[in-house]
Amino acid sequence: MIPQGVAWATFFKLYGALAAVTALIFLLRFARRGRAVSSTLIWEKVMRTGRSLWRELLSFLVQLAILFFICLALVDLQPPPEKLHRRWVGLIFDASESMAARDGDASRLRRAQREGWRLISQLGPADRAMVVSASADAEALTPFTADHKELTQALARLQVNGARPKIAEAVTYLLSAFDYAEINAQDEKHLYVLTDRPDEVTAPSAPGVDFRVLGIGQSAANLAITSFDVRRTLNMTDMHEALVRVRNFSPSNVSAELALFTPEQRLGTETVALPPGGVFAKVIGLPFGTAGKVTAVLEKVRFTSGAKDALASDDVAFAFVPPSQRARVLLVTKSNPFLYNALALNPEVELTAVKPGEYQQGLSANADVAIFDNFTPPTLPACNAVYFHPGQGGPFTIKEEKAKPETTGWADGHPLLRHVRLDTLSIDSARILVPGPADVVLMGHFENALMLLRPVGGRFLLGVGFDLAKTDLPLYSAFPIFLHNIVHVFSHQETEDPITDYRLGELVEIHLSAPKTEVVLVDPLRRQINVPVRGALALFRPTVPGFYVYADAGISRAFAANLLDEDESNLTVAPTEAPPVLAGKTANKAAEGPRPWLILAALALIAVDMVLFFNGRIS
Amino acid sequence: MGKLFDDEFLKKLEYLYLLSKKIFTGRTQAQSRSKKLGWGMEFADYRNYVPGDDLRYLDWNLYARMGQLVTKLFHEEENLNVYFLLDASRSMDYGTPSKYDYARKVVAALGYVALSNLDSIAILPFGRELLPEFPLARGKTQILKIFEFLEKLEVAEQTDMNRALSAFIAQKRPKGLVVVVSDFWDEAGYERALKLTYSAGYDLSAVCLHHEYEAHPKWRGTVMLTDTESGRRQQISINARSLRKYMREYDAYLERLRTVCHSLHCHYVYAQTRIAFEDLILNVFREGQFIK
Repeated sequence: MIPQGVAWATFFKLYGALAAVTALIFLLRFARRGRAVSSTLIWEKVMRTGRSLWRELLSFLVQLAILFFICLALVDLQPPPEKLHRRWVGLIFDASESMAARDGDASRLRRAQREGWRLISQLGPADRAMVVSASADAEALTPFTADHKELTQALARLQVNGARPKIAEAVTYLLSAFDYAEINAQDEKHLYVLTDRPDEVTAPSAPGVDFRVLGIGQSAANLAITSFDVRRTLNMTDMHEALVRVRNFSPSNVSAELALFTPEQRLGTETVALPPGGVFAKVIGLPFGTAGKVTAVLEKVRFTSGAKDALASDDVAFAFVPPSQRARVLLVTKSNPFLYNALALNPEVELTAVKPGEYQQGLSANADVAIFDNFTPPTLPACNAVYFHPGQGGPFTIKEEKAKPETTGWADGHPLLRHVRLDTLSIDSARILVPGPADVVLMGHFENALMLLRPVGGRFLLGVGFDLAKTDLPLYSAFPIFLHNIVHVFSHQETEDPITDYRLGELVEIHLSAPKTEVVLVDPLRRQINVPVRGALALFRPTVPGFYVYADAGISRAFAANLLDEDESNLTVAPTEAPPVLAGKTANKAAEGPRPWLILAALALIAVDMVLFFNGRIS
Repeated sequence: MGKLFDDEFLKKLEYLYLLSKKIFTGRTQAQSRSKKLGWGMEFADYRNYVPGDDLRYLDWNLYARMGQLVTKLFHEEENLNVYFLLDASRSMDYGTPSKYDYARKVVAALGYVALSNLDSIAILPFGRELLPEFPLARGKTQILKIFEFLEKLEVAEQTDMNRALSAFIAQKRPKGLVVVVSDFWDEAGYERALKLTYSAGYDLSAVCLHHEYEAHPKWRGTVMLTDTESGRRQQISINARSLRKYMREYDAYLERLRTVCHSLHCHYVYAQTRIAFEDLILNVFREGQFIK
């Protein structure tokens, strides 16, 4: 027998104290209540039987025995585990987003909780159970325990969390938990998976484990946004477009309105009418300057069957558009209206124009890109730079000044020449540049170059051998694109926008500008979440669709989390098994321990003591 | 003189004696008259002559008239022997004042009156058996010796009235009045002892002395009773119900004692030690039990 209640030491202390008190009372009763009489002849007739000392002693011993049994009941002795026949039950709950679907009187997760409570209620006192949540990650909510309260509280904590539940991982986890538990040969192992996709769960190869999959819910209609993203338009202006994909997961036609919002305005509305299984996919241009939080919402969803949309979390999608930053461009030219106008009209450019005489080295330190037109500063600028018609003393080696130079090739597809064609370019004269070993020749002239890109100390220098005034390039429609490419590439805007859209349950990497210990996220429910940071990287797994906002170096940043999972939005449920009944034998009664019998024995002895008490007194 | 019998006590005895004289007014002699018929001065009856009768007591006149020999009978006059059998068991040593002290005073008072009436008295304390006695003595001058004897008496042991009185009878003492002063708490019973004494030809008187707590216990709750004689201990829970039953049993016990005494023509007096002993003595005199 193993104590499950108070420890043996406590038992001895408690029993010793109570026995001492009882003995003291026993002795005090004799010491304080004694009376001498001439004779007890009459008293013996009054009493049915004499209550002699031995009877008192017997009563005292009975009282000690009562205390002993009560204290022993507190110890709650249990048979050793090896003597018990126990069931070890692993309960895996699908907590993916589809379990939030309301296809009945309650959500699927709520119904799974009910089934879980029903299973737990069938556990015997010696049985052990463990609750595991399978969502974006497999998480054990309890260890193997017989505490029904702990198990039911764990069930109450279940909440949907992301897509594509890791049921297989949860099964593997539980099987290994079986291995580490103190399971005896006669014990039974049961593993139940409660999911709305029972057909997708594969039984593990685990001999000796009773594996069962219990389907939760029933098929339901659903219209879902399955894709949503916002990106820059291809012409690289400050324009964005939204890519939206909506799918009808119901056996009936559906109509709805798809609305796009920012917090400030309604961007537009699209009408969606889809047959069963139909898909609506469209790229929707967003107004100029759209940035920040963009939300797509399905409204007025009506199925011809009259069914209701069962899952709300896929009727809305979120995207965060980082606000663009204007490139700081320093233009050094005597007077070049083509360059000046092309740059000044670009809304992504913050232009600073100076004449060569006004140029100072310090100006380049505050610029992302420096453009030198017919001017070659004696020292290299502090930023990336473009030299139109560079002179001697600059970074480039000039072979010669040549009239009507021939173009022998150009680097079509280079980021600087994207959407630009130079094969018909007419050049009156140009300085022939000698390429270095690390240079990239963008426009060649035999073994030399008319345009080359040179990396120098972490910077890039673009050398253009011809004077813009002696070529027809400014007249090309590609000229502003060429300048736009230069600004984007040299101001690092050419790199892709940072990822700001994630799926629920997906691990989000938050790169901070500086190391810190934690970052505070405000989730869509406006709850503050303290996320630990390692170095400058924080990892976070969003569980609620919407926008998550945090501050980095005083700048408010955000990302969006969406469901956007066709598997989760498809609410079809395979036929389910019978209602869950816990299999296996109920643990034997020995598992209850002797406590009830000890209490009964104590009650019986109390009755005996009462008989001793009254039998010795009044007839 | 010790505390038990001081000058005040002697005054009380004298007072009692005077009162006794008033109570038995008309009696010119202090002598007691035996109930036996014999050859005294006072005519009592006639009976037929049987050979051996003293011819001096033949009634010749009657023989002359009737021709029948008839012998005249007279009350035999003799000194009365009074034997005080004093219960000296431990049960008597109970209460304040103890029943034992009270009993000794009673014996002393009755003895004084008896001595004053020219009777002979003996005091025989007993417990399990007869203890050293104060032998028969006569005359008021014996009273101081009696006081001394009584003062030196100590409680001895358990009561065994049967054994003690059997021993008394076996000693074939002169007939007389046996006054048993006791609480009559005897596990072996007192009936046989009294019957034996009566059968042996002694007159009997019984003085039953109890403490008021024996008649009306004042305890409540659970108490451990200790028998002062046997030392036996018993725990009881006393409540109104048990008290009522006790008092019924107590009354029945006394009634049984009274019935036994009456059946043996034994004078019976019951008293509690809370009343003054002189009141008890006077009560005895008024009932004419001891002194005639």
